[in-house]
Amino acid sequence: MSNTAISLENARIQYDDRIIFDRINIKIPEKKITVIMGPSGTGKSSILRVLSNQSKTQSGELQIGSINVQNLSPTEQQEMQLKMGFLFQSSALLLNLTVYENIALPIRYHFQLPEHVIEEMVNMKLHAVNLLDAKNLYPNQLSGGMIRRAALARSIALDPPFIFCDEPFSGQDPINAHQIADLIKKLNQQLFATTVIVSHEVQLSLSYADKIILINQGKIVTEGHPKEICKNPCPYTKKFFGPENIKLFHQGKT
Amino acid sequence: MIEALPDPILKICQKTGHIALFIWKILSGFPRKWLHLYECILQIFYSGVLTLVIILLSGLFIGGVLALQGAYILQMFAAENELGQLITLTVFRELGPVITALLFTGRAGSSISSEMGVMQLTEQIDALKAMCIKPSQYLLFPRFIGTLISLPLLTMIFNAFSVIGSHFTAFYWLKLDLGLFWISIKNSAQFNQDILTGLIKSCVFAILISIVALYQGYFTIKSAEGIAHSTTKTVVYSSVFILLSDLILTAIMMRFWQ
Repeated sequence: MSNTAISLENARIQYDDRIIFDRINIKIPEKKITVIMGPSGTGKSSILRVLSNQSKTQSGELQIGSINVQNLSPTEQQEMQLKMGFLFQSSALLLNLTVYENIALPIRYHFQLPEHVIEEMVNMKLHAVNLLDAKNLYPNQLSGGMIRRAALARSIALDPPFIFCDEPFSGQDPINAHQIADLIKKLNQQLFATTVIVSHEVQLSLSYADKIILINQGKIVTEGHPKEICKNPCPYTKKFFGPENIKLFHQGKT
Repeated sequence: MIEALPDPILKICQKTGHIALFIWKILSGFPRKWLHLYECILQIFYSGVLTLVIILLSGLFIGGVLALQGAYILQMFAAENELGQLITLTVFRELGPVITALLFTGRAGSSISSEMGVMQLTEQIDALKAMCIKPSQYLLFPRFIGTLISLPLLTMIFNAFSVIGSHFTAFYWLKLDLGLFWISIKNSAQFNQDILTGLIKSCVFAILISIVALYQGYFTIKSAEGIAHSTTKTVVYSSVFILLSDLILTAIMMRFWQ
């Protein structure tokens, strides 16, 4: 079993008076793809933001590697944040910048590099997501799949060891969704990154995840490798993943 | 003790504190790199240069109208040769700064507010934070400084074009003596009392417009209706603040300056 890259212990997440999670424990394995699943409105995106250190918990500890994030100074927090690539559900590309400028922005902002080096770095990312031809286009000139790939390229602009993806397959047709899943898998392997995905997409999650965490009503229902998940006798797990998907997974067809 | 205060007062205090912290946030985005400075220059272009056409046209037309109305009144007292003085004092002291600020609110203030709102709605601001790019440095301060530099410059341009507009009306329409018109302007306009006071006013208006627009946009309700609401509030609040602060500034300047 691989080491734990991120661990969240006894965390309480609440908005105003509404408690989303109380004393939740999550362990994310290093250099693997972990998919957090659950019904809509259950707080998956909130967990992703906590794990990526973008929002704080009311109590509990977030440990990234061997570092307790709560003990870091603001400068150290920022350094830690630079190690986190985040793909937003809405992609969140800056609409007034071209695809190239969107990816170059974090590099320009944090490192003083000559323009030709930045260009080379950006072109590498664009090549990785197969968007070199679209580098001078603005987000409103791209298709939904291209926008998602451009956002993915931006999230890996600083070669982060952690990649977080919030619903990367939502609103995508099956072909695009598979392309994005392939890309995430490829980037995970090439960058040796720890990847955490929030998704509803059962078939893709079963085929690409190294670990699945299923949550419902503020609790973890089940977690483990897709094989373990599919063997889990828990009725909710079976209902969520669907007997047909589980059958397809056993047959190796997902 | 604080809890004993009535709810409306507590809410006003809360809002005032919130706005004060937001102003501090804007100022904390002071440029520290060339990249930040570039954003500021870009905003001067978006706020200033793109508002130029409406300012030029308004200046010309308002100058023309003032000349027509002014000449009509002055002729009653056989004082039409003082038209230049009337135009200069009215435009440089009051109309220039106020009308430019109101036009600027409609054109650039609403644009800043809706842009911020859309950036909130589409998670662009969250994305900046996720990339460790401070919104105060990348978004807020550049727009603040863009407004603060643009508005006084636009006011001067408005003033100049108002005089040009009145010049054309006086010469081609009213057939007044242009020599007397320009001598009247030269003798009446004083830098400290007329031009500088107008510029100080426009700097204050710029600060008010930018804070209102940025605040309304940054804290918009994340929906299409929310953005529309923020944009409307920006124009309404800014206009009220401009007129109110103009009254206060004029009273202070009349009392202590002149």
